[in-house]
Amino acid sequence: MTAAERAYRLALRAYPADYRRERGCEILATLAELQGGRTAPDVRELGGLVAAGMSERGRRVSGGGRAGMWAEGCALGALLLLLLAATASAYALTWDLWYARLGMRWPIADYSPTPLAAPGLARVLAATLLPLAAAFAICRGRRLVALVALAAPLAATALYLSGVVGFAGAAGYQSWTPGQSWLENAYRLGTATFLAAPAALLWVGGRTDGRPAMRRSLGWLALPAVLAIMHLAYWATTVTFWPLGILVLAWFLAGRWSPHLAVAAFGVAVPVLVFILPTALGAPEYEYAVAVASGAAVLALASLISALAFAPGTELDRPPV
Amino acid sequence: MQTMREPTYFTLAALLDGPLHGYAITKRAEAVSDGRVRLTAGTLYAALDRLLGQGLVEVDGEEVVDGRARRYYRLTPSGRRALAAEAARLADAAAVVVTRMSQAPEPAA
Repeated sequence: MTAAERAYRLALRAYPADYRRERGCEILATLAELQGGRTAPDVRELGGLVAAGMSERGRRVSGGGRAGMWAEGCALGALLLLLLAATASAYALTWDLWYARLGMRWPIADYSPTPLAAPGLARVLAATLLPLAAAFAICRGRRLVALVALAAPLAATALYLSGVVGFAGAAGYQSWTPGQSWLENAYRLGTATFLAAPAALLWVGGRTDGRPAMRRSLGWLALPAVLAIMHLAYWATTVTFWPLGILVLAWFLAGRWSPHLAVAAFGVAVPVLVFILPTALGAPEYEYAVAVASGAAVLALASLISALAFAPGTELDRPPV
Repeated sequence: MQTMREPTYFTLAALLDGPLHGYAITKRAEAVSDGRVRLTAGTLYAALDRLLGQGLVEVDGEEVVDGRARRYYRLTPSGRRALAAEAARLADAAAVVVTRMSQAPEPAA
């Protein structure tokens, strides 16, 4: 077997197993003829195989229809953003607990990662547990339940930002600032952005019946969306970039929603975060240890919830068609 | 009517002269597009899957050559009609511009 064929066989793994059984030999035969006498694989062909394979998996996960792809893509995007929100919130909370133990306050006076300024249990509930509950509901295909779960923290945020309700410990928390760019404000709003975005995605995703849906699943848009939001907060970048990026790939490579793969993906990401990033960025290692520990805890919890939620027959866990 | 994507269009165009297997389709598509369209295997088989699903092409037969599996595909009558309709649409679209180009004054440099 040549190096090219080995590479093409590896790239074919992007397709679902039964597709490979049906078409794999034929595709490899075509590639062998296209290859001519060259021994090195054609990068363009490799990219084409991976893209087409993932597209096939995405089509199957969503049921094949355009409206289904749209809805599934929105749900996937919402799920990722919610996990991001819960991770970020747990990270901030861990810091708060850490500083409380040391008798200190959040070190950056004019910024806190969560504008849901209610302290303690209320904040855990609003910024961590409710997003996870919404994630659970999405896994079960319960879009409206997820929206309801998000309604409380969003309403609390809106009330706080409008000045109607002042939470204890609100000093130092940020609100919408006229004159600043929306990116700046999104950064300031932190958790509200994290929760509003998935809520909007869920809302849009559920309203696709009877109108043209996109050709491709919006799931692909989730990654740039997550990246864009994460760039608004450096800590989120360090905590969640690799796990979520790998998570998306793992989901598509698996051709189905797999909490086990999510856990495995995070297992891969943790060493990267713990050992490589702190050194690369020259940052104190304990900060990343806290970040990774809180992120790992939330994602492990989310994965556990997903494992319970993804029973056969649930809306998002269709078997290959 | 839905617009046809370029790989789909040239895959159908490649099959106009008769049944072909995957490799031959990519080569024919490249030739009829004057080298502009170079289908990767991934793109080709995605297009073929879609066209098979829509009934625009069908499997003509299979054979093994030099130990390699080959599957031949051919246009169905509805595939031929769809290709003709798309070609007519493209020709109409081109005619609009060509006609106006000949009548409109050259913009000042």
